Order: sequence, then C-alpha cells, then structure tokens
Amino acid sequence: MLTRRAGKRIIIFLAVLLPAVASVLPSALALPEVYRLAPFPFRSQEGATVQLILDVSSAAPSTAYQFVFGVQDPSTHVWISVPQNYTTLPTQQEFILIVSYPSSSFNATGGVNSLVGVYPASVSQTKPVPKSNVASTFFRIGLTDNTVYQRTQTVSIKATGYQPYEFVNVRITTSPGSTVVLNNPDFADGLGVISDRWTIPPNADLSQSYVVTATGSTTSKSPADVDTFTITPAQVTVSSISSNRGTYQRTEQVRISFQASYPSLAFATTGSANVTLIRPSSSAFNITASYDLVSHNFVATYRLPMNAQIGVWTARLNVNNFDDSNDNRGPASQVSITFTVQIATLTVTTTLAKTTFVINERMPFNMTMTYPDGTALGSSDHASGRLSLSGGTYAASIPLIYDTSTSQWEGLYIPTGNEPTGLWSLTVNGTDNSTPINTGVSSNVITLNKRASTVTVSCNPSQITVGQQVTCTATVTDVDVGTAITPTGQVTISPAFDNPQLCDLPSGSGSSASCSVIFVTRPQSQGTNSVTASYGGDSHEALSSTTASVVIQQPQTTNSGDNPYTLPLFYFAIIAGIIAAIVAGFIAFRHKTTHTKLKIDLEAVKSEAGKIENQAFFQSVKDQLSKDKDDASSSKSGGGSGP
Amino acid sequence: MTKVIAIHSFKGGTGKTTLTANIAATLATHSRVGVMDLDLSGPGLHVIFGLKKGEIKATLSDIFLGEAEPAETIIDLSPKFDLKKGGLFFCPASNKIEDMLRLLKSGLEVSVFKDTIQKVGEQCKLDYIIVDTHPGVENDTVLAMGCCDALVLVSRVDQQDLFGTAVMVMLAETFEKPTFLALNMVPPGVRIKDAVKVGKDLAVLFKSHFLAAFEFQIDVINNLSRSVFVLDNPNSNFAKKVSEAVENLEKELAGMSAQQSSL
Repeated sequence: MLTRRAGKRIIIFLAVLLPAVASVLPSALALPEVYRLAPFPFRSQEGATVQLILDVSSAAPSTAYQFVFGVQDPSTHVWISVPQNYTTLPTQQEFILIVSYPSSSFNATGGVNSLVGVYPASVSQTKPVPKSNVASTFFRIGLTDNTVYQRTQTVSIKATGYQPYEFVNVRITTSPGSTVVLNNPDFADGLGVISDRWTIPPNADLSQSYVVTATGSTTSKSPADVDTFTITPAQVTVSSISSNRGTYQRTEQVRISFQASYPSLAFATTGSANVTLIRPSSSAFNITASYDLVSHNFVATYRLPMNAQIGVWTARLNVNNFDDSNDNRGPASQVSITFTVQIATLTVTTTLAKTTFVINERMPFNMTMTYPDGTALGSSDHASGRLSLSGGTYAASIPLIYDTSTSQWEGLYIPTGNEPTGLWSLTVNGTDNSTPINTGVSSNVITLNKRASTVTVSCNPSQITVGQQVTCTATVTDVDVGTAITPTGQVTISPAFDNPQLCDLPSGSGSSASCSVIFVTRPQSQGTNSVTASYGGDSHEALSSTTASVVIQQPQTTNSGDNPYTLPLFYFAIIAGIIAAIVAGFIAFRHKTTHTKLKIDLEAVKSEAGKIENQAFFQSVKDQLSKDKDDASSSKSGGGSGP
Repeated sequence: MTKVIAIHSFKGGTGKTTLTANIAATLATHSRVGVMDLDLSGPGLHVIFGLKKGEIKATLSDIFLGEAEPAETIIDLSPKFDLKKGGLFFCPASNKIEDMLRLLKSGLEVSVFKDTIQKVGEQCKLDYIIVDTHPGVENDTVLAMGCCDALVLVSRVDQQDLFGTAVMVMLAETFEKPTFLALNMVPPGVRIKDAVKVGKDLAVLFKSHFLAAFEFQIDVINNLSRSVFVLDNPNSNFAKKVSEAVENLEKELAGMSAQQSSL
C-alpha cells in the first residue's frame, strides 16, 4: 500500500507533467472536425435565394480552413462555388460559413433557382487537410409558398425563368379529381416572373391533392413547373363570447353571442355551436348558437324559467364545439362568460275606476301582474291587497281573486264605515310559488272624503203670527253613493225672527236624522223671514246648509182701549171662523205640502225605467221568462191534443 | 203552490231586510215559509236569524256557482223560533268577498234560480218564499223580480226613495208582476194617518197596491238586528203593524189567485 507521503508526491508529479505533455503533442492527435451542412429555408419558391450553412465544430484553433460547395439543380447540372476561406482564432474550435445559392459565389452564372424540384448540396474541405464531401444536404424549390394550407388561407404562386412578358398559364387542379380550381393565363413581368394567388374556399375538398402548373407559351422547362400542396380544415378562432346583459331576471331571455373567424380573418357565417350553460349548482345543459343575420354574430338564446336558479351562471364554448358545417372547427381553447340571474320583479298594475271615494263606498279594483317576459301571474299564485291610511294608523287587508276569463286579479274593499278621511294607499303584492319566490308590488294613492249630505228645514205651524211659538225641524240626509250612514252631530237653525239655536241629531238608523228647535217670533218680524239650517257634519258626513222662508203675519188687533184681547162679542164669531179656517187650511196645507214635496215626475220615472229595461241582463231575464211561459203553454196545449 | 214574494227597495237603509225577517216570521206563525237571501253582495238575514258560522253548510251563492244543490242550503229555523203551527226555512247567501266577486263575473242564471225556488218549495212544502234582494237595480234584483209572484217595495217617505220605487213599479209592470208599496221609517214629524194617505195616493199614481206604513220605531232600531223583533216582542205596536200588513198581503194575493183561477 502506498504511504500517505508517497500518494501526495504522485499527485504533485501529475499536476506538473500533464500540461507539458499536452503542449508538445502533434495536432494530428486532436479530435477530428465535425461538419454539418444545412439549407435555409429548406423549401422556397422559384427565384428565392437559399443560404447554405456550414457548421464546423472541433475545429483546430489558429488554422486556415478552405471549402468548396456544390449544388445540383433538378436538371442535374452541378454548380461549384469558388473556395470559401475561414481562419480560426487561437482559442476558436467552432465556426460557421454561409454561402448563398444562387450567388456570385457559384461560377459565373451563379446557379439556377427557376426549376421545381430537389437541389442536393455538398461541401468538400480543401485546407488544411483536403477532405471530399465532408457534409451534404438538400433543399426544395417549388411554385407555392407552402405545401400544406388550411382552408381560407391564400396560396401564393411564383414561377421564374420565363421570357420577359411571356404568356404563362397558371392552373391548379385537384388530384385525382382533375377539377380545375384556378386557371389564370397571364403575362410574366419584365424579368420573366409570373405570380398568382388563390384563396382556398372554406369548403375546399380535403380528400384531394392540389397540383399547380405553370406553362409558358415559349419557354419549356425541364423539369416542368409542377408543384403539389394539400389542404387541411381551417382552425376557427373564437376569441371570446359575450352575454348581452351582466344580470338577468328570471323569465328574461339570456342572449349569448360570439364571432368565429377563419385563418383568413374572414368571419364565419354558417354552422352552429353548442354553448354550455352551467347553473350555480354546476348542473349544465347545452343550447345551440346559430348565425344571426342582423347582428352578424352567432347567437344562442335561452328563456330563463320562473324558477331558474339564482346566482352566477356560466356560458361556455368548449374546444372545437363550433363547426361551420364544413368541418372547420374551433375554438382551439375554451372560452366562457359569466352572468348573474336574479329573481323576477313582477310588474303589478292596479286599475281603479277612480281615485277619490267617500266613506262607506265600495272600492273595486283590478290588477295585472306580469313577469318580465309578459307572462301573467295566474290563479295558482298568490296576491294580496292592503289598504292603509297615510301614517299607518289604520290598515285593512283585501282578498284578491284571479278571474281566468279576464286574466286579471280582482279585489273589492267593503268599507266598515269607520274609515277616517284622508289619503290612503292601496298596496298590492304579488308572489308566485317559485323558490325563492318572485315578487312584485304596486301602490296607488286613494283619497277618502266625507259623504255628501243635504239638510232641509221646515217650521210648524206654517202660518205664523208675531209672538207665536214656532217649531223648526232640520232633517239631514246622507245622499252619497253606497250604503248610507245616519248623520249625527249638530244643526244650527238660524231664523231671521229669533236668535240661532243648536239642536243635536239623535242616533238612529237610515239615511236621515232630524232635530227640532222651538223659537218665538219677534214683534217686528212680520213678513217673509228666512230660516237657515247649517249642518256641521260629523266624522262621516260633510257639512251642508239650506235656507227656507216663512211668512209671519201681524196678529189681529182691536182699536178700542188698551187691552187688545178684549173684543166685542160680534167679533168672536169672526175670530172663531178665522181660527177654523186656519185649522182647516193647515190640515189642507200640510196634506198639500206633503204631496207637493213628494211630487214624482212620471216622465223621469219612465225614462229611467226605459234605460234599465234596455240593459242586457234585464232583457235576457225577460226573454228567458217569456220563453219559459211559451214552453209551458205549448206543453199544455200539446198535452191536450195528444193521442 | 208556493207563492214567491220578493221584497225590495230602491235605496239602502230603508229597513228592507229587517222588514223581510219580520214579515217572514209573522207569516211563519201559521204558514210554511221559506226565506232566501238574494242580497248576494250584502247579505244580512243570517245575522237577524242569529246563525253562527258553522250552521251554514252551503249558500245560494254556491248554487249559482254550480257548487251546491238547493237542498244543501236549507236551514230549518222552526225549532229555534218554536214555530209549531207553521215553519220557517232559510237559504242564506255567502258573506265571503271571494264568492261575491266570483258571482259578479259568473253571472246569474234565471233557470238556476227558478229551479232553486221550485226545489226548495217542493222539498219543504212551502206556502210562501220570501226573497230579500239587494237595494237598487242590480242583476239579482231583476232576477228576483222576474221570478216572483209579487213584489213588495219598501220606501221611506223621501223624494229619492219614492222616485226609485216608482221606477221599480214600472219595471215590475214589464214582467206583469203585482207590486205592494210599504212605507217604512215614517219620521216622527209626519202623522201615520197622513203617511197612509200619501201611500195610498202614491199607490194609485204608481198603479200599485198600498200595503202599510210603518212608523219609525226606536225599539226596532235598538234591537240592532240581533233577533227577529216580532218574535221577541209579539205584543209590540210594530208586531201588530206587521201582522196587519201580512194579513193584508195574504188577502190581496188570495184575491189575485182567485181572479187568475176564474180566468
């Protein structure tokens, strides 16, 4: 075994010796060069220059290298370059040498690139050590700028080597179908170059190869200008999809749209796509998008149901789910958009025949409640009405029912008679059976007024003399629509012949109430006197007033002595006669008054009755009864004449 | 054969329903009487007859809506009012707002009402059916007017009431129905004798029959529709007046029947 000291000495020895040995070794013992030759581009059109790139690695530093390139064109003519030199630097072990073909580097004419076909190329080293054919490669020259195209892309065609302005026919035919898809005779330019383009239609036949030929009228090429390309489906691009709204209510229509573009950047106008709608619960379903001629987009629509899930939805177009109906598909990666679905706010429209009512008047109203899409809330749903006084001190619920014949909700508020006057609001709420519910509300303002009243006043007796007691009676009547309420409160009776007095209307029933006051006529009040009755109203009835007139006569007086009541005997008979006449007159007057007061206008009665008789229901009842009567009598007579 | 008497007023608040209940009850002391509440949008007879919610199984409204048979609506009140000689049978109306609204829309069929009258009359072997109607000229009023044998018009001594009553008489003439004028709630300021005179004169003017004039009775008002007044107070002035009116009505109707039979 080596000792530790001996091992150390060996290491020192090797460290000093090895660099010295390396510096004196001959270059022939170095690693051999590695040569790589590559064209750029590998394929090009006629007339194009190709770069031949020679990469030499493991080269010797500080060495002069020389190479010669050779290219064989499709006519088998070989083109040799002039020697190409390169000297490596002291530390350089790799270098690149580039030669253009055709160029002045190749012979006098520089090479040919006007022929379609394969161009083999090779390189030989001439210095420092001659080595033949150290590397080789090949490149192609054709008529088209590619060998494979997607539909809708444009094929660019270029052929050179013709006479200036020579007539050249460029054609593309399918193979094996032999269908001519391009036939374009044209003149070459001043340099003998002919160029053409063909845009591939979206429905180009994919089963065929496409053969391009250029045929000159005078130039005959060998090999001839013939090239081939193939077509693949177009990759359709859909960069994004959009929703026409960020938020929808249930029953509204979701509209998803997108544009699809071909590689040519033209927009697709045919085909369809399955758009996947994903609910908040992650369950999904597909809807179909088709081309919309108005918006020039592909559009998919979906009417959200009344019970659609609430929350964030996603619309997604998956990879290649769009097909333009020619098997051109897209997108290459999925695109999506989100939108929010909310509950539907129902539109509640309440129709009132009028907005001003009086106490104890029925309030009929009807409503329509519709979803955003116009669908009506129906009988299986719920609706409620509420009438509340401004300030909320009084409120009442009103049941609503749905009438299928009119497709309307109907409500009727039947008053209690205790509603205070003022501003009221009628609130109608509608809800359906969805989870969560869709709902809507409307509010209308209603004015509730007091009921109209009239007051009449009459005095008794009707023939009054000065100093006599008179009873005046005021009658207040509720004359407004609906069920009457008995007026209460006070009436001020103000006769011209005495001081005004108040009287209280008694509680009772019916539409009228009366109260009376006893007055005494003043000495100076003979003649016609007015009597005014003013009703002050109550919580239900509005105030009213009226004025009547009474005639007060001067009492019969004597002209003998101070005592007016001492009359000569022969006047007693006259006075008695007058009193009897007054009593008889009073009775007759009262009777007449009652009749006069209650005078009925028979013409008006006939007119009113006529109007009612003309009403449809009245006529229908009349016709039905008359028919029944006829049927009954005919059955009687029929029975009598039977066998 | 059952005689059908409709009781009607042109204006509300005339005491029509109270009078209907009391006339029916008076008749029912010696005859078999049916009472139909055809005031479909403002029924009240069930209150006067003291019916509780559970006692009403079906209503006239249900019949018109096609949801009940006439027999299902009949409530025998005879035991309740201890009517041993006669009988009182009641067909109520629904006091539910929903039913009122539905009826407004569904309409009323003459044939349905006639059929109801016939079936109730036959089943209970009724001498009379008294029909209480809605004030004014509504569809139920016209229906009752068309299907009745006689029409009692209740009016106050009031210009508006009497005008409307005259209109009702004229409409009844179209159906060839006899009418009876009853003046109710005659104010204290008008003597009953004068009211009778006015009533008779108006009856002549309207080509109607005068039935009775009822004074404003504070006792009846104070009863607050809690019961049938004449049954609770058989000796009251009002009961006597109603009794006279019923007697008068029966006599007149009998006379008319005899006249028709002789023809």
